[in-house]
Amino acid sequence: MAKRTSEQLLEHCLQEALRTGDIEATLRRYPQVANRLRPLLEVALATNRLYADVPPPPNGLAMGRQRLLDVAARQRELAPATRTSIQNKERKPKMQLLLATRVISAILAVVIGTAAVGGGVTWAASDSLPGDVLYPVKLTGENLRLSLAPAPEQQVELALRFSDERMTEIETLVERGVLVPETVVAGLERHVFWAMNRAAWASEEEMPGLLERIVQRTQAQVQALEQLRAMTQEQNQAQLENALRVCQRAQEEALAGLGDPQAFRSRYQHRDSMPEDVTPPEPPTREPQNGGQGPQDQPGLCPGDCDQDRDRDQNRDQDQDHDQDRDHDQECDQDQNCDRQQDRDQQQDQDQGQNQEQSQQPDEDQGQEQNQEQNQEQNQEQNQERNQEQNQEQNQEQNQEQGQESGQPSDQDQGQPDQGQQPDQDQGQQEDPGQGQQQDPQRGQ
Amino acid sequence: MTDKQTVLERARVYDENALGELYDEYAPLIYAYLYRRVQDARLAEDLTSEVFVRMLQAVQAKQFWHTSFRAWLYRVAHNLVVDHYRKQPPAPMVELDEQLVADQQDPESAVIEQLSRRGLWFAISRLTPEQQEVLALRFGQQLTAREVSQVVGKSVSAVEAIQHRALAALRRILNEGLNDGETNV
Repeated sequence: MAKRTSEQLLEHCLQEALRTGDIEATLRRYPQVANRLRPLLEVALATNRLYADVPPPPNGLAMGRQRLLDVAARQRELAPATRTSIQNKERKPKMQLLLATRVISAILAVVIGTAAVGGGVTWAASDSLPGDVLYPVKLTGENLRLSLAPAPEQQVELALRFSDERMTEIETLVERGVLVPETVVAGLERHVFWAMNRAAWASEEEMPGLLERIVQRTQAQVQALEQLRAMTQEQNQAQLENALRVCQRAQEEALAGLGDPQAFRSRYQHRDSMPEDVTPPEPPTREPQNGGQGPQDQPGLCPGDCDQDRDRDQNRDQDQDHDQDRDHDQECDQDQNCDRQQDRDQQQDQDQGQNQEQSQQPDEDQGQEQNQEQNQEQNQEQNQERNQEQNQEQNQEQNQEQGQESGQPSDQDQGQPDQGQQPDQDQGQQEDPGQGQQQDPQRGQ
Repeated sequence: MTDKQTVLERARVYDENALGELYDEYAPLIYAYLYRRVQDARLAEDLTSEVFVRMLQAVQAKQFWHTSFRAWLYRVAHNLVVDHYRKQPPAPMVELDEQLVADQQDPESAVIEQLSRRGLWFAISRLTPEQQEVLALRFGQQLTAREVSQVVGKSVSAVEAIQHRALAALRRILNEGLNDGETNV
């Protein structure tokens, strides 16, 4: 049996003493601490009796009831529009189906023209639950709202609000005795850690406040989940435990972030932001990679996965560059004109270095991107021209040498220029600027 | 109430029957809690009315409570008490119910015999608002430590610690009162 703290022991004795009303019988079970607990139990029972006497309300609470109904009547007159969504839920299922059809049509229009996002379309779906027709609409609306949040503060607040939404869904499903789908817990996890990621990109002034908000919200979620776990059926225990672990971990991490903001930043701004034993979340919306408008072009569109994708892409590009260098070195070992090739490589490396330096500049505006592209094109053209000149000189030298020896042209030069390789490398570099520009524009540092 | 969620959603659209149902169910609980906090029946009734007006405002924000509607109401009531005493600090001595004092019979032990209701009210009034809240919920409203934790937004262990400190402080204040002869009735 685990050792109890004095507070826990008091609580245990209190429960028994309040139930039986017999302090001494309770204390006989704990003779070692009886003297210490007795005065506390006595005053507790005295307080219990004191509180039992409550005089009736002078007006029988009738005035308060009338006041409530009067205020409600005024509010009802002022805001008739708010009745629609709730009352629709209580109407016939046909109405809901009709509404669903209309909403689905509307959401297609919304997806096409995202400027219209934020309207009342998703509002109609806000009460839906997993399995409902409107539930995907609700999730889509949330994702779009996340993508449109302008700054870390709003992003964190929205993500926490949506994590509360998942909590509400879990509570409702548990109360109804329905199995909680894994996707709901995954959604909770996604939103909580997205909030952490966004907080990590906030300014030094903002971050502590955001972390405190995360701590508060996750604490409330932990308490709610603990209560739910105590009352739920066996079928939902596993999901509730998963959700509980997510919230507890987030709470601990946010608390740690308050103590060591730098460590929190470095942890949550990058790909290792997800705890090892938590499944990395899917972003709210995913665009095809490198499809022109990828997630990296929309910093607010997807949670931490964007950063992970960036890091992964950067690593992949670096690996490709290394592979190219390694292959190239092997070729050079076999090549009689390795020295000249190395000279060209050095020249290319210099060009690449220039490009990489440019690519590491923060992406302040599109004008810089255009400048970089222009510079890269110029570098590419210069490299080609330089290689052609070098090849011509090389051919001339070798022809002169061989002409002096045999008077016949040599075939060795035909494979050397390697002009086909260079554009590939440059093209690979053109992808890099996008990688180097992934610093969150919202971060005020 | 067959389906509390349904009633709450009806309350969101100012349905009179739903609001009346919520009031009838929870107003006595909130009134009793507020009386235990302020020891003034009229003030407790006024504050109860205010709690439900605030509920009406807050109910428009969907799912404004995390755990339970009742816990949320207690929290609003506590905040109102704190606000009230911020504007108007409590009198040094609480009202004395002589009849209750006279009815004191058959105490649990020799120590409890010495405890007067007046002295106990006085001692409670000297606790921190947080300690008063926990004691009122725990011993007045008969909530478990876990339920109290949901109301106050702290962990169960934190609530148990507050409770322990509150009872120890009560005991100390009562002993001091007995020694000084100030809290004796």
